[in-house]
Amino acid sequence: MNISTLIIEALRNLLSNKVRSLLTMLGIFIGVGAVIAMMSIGQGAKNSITDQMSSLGTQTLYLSAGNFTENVRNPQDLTNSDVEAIKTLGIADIVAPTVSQPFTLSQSNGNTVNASVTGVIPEYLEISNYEIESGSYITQEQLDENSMVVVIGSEISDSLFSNSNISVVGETIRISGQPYTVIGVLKSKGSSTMGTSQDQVVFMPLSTAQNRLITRQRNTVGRISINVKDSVSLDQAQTMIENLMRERHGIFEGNPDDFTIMNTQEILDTLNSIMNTFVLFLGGVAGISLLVGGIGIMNIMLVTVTERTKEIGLRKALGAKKRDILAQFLVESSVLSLVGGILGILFGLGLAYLIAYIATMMGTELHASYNPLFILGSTLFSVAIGLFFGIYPANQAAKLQPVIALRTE
Amino acid sequence: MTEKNGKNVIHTEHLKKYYIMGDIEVRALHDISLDVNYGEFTAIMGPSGSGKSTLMNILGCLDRPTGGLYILDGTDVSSMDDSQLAEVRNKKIGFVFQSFNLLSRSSALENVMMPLLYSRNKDHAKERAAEVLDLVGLGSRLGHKPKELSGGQQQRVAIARALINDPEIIMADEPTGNLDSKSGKEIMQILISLNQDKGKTILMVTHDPKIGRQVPRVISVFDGMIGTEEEQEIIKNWQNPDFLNVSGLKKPDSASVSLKKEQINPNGNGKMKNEAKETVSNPFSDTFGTDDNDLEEEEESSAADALAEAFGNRKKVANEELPAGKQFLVNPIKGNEEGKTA
Repeated sequence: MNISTLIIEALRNLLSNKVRSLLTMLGIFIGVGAVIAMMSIGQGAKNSITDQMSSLGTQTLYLSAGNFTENVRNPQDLTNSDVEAIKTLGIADIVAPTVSQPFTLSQSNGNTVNASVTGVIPEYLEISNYEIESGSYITQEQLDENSMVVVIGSEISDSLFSNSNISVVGETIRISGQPYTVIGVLKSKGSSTMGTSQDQVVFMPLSTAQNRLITRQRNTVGRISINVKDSVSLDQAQTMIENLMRERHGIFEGNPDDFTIMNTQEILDTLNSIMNTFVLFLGGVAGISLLVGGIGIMNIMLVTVTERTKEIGLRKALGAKKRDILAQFLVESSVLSLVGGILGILFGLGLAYLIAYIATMMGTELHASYNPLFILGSTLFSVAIGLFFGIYPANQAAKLQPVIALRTE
Repeated sequence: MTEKNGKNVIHTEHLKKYYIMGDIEVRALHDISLDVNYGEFTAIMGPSGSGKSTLMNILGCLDRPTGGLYILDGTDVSSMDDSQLAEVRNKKIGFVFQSFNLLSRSSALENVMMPLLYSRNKDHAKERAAEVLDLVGLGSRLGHKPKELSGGQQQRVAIARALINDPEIIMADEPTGNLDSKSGKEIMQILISLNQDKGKTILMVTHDPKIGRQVPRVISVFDGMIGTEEEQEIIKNWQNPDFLNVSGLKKPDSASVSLKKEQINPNGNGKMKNEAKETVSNPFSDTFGTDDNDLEEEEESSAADALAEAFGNRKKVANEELPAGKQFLVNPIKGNEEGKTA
């Protein structure tokens, strides 16, 4: 018996019992649909995280004071001279020190908002991947002059200036009582994958922040972003900066660092593995419903075999061998689960895009994403489920004795 | 009759079939030795539980004997495995069942083509199927589903299915059992013409003594054994072997009376039929409903008519053709025959 005859026969048998076939298919349909939806959403989330991470630049190191993993006695702050020292290493395109602290911002109309205010240098725009919506960014001149200017995120703009028709640029806001002129508004970046808004930011010249607003220690910087040159490997750069900082901070051999260097590539790798686990977990949970669907197929195939005992006997009497009967029922269960699976894939993708759409509408940027290989895998997997759960019923059918099967009514 | 492997299409020696039911060994068949020649039309008869179905299953390669030798068309099938047996069934045997056993989802043509699914020779499947359907007179109903066909037509589809692989032997298990008298007669005529015109060997299980009387050769089975010559004689003349077996004890008189009557009036089909009706309806009325019995009687007699027409004048010849000297072979229709030819 060739495969096309078997498939036609199987389809005919399945069509002769439409409601039952449909209900059985539903199990696989929902199972595959759930797996595909979960995986697509997971994959989408993973993609957006890695996108964001790589938008920070995979050639970027972040140096900050303190050690998060080990206790260090008297950790020294990072200073402007540290920044200069790193610059002289000649391995970085941009060395951008920042300093930041949360403040309450207010506006003359009475609106207030809490936000972290960050002192930056003009190059920081490039590293941080923001774009200007209106107005301009901080210039070198303003940095040199300790200008009282700020560039604000779109959300800050919205909360402070309720009337969005008026151009925000040129308005004055107060931070810690000091008046600052808004010179630019940033384009919205949406919330980050961690859930925090990236539009609730306030940037001002580093010098202004150090000298006027965050005046604990005038030379201190909070974090240094280092954009390493393409010709230098990230690991190499990290080692060099590490050695430099240890020397500058006078740390003895064997003592832990009093600073931390974050490597974006490392973060990306860690995040990737976390997200992979997450996606697999979601898929696994959905896979349970697939298992249930498979058991449904097995159940129905067992019923079918019992119902068609006489037909099996007849086929055997007419010369069908064990493997013919086995093939017939295996093909039938595979076709059942394949059709269910294909419909489930379409349903799952639809569901994933719907969820992503709803999430985006509700403010969380999310795009469903699927892998063609994944679709192929799911298709094959649903056939495999049909085969696997069809084996037992098909074997029951194949081993029926023709005499007994024929006698059964 | 063309090239044949060996002398007989069926040759068995000391076939046995024992079942174990609980602690008891049931001897369904015990020491069956028989031969069926190419081109023979043979009936197996016997009361319910006599083992005739078991014998038919073994001869049809649906079941394996516990012991003994079975040679079908020159090949020893008694020691074959399941898949070899399946191939033998596919190639050498055509089955016709009492309940037709057609697939209701498939058309007549597809039903007839079904054995070809499992056959190596799939060439011109549709043409061949259409040809055999034409042969049984259903050339215009290829696309009909079984439920769109009458019982007789369904059985003809089943016969066509049995013929598609050009088997050595056609095994029919009560082929007229589920049919009305007219259809039964038609089916019997088809089987007869297959035997007489195409030279097909036909082995048929039947309950009906009227049919049995008309078939050239009857193999009777009692308690799992081939009947003796006397028993063969009796079984042919019984009105209803099942009845005798089951309720014969209750009504020994009427049963023996009916037997006598039959033996006294061996010839004249019409007359015999009438008498048969009388005698049979009498004992049956006590055990079962009378109406049904009358009807059944009439139905079955029609199939017998067809046989009578076909073999009535050939019996002497058929008799001579049979190999002599085999103790288990019965001279066909001895009693009737002598009455008729005298």
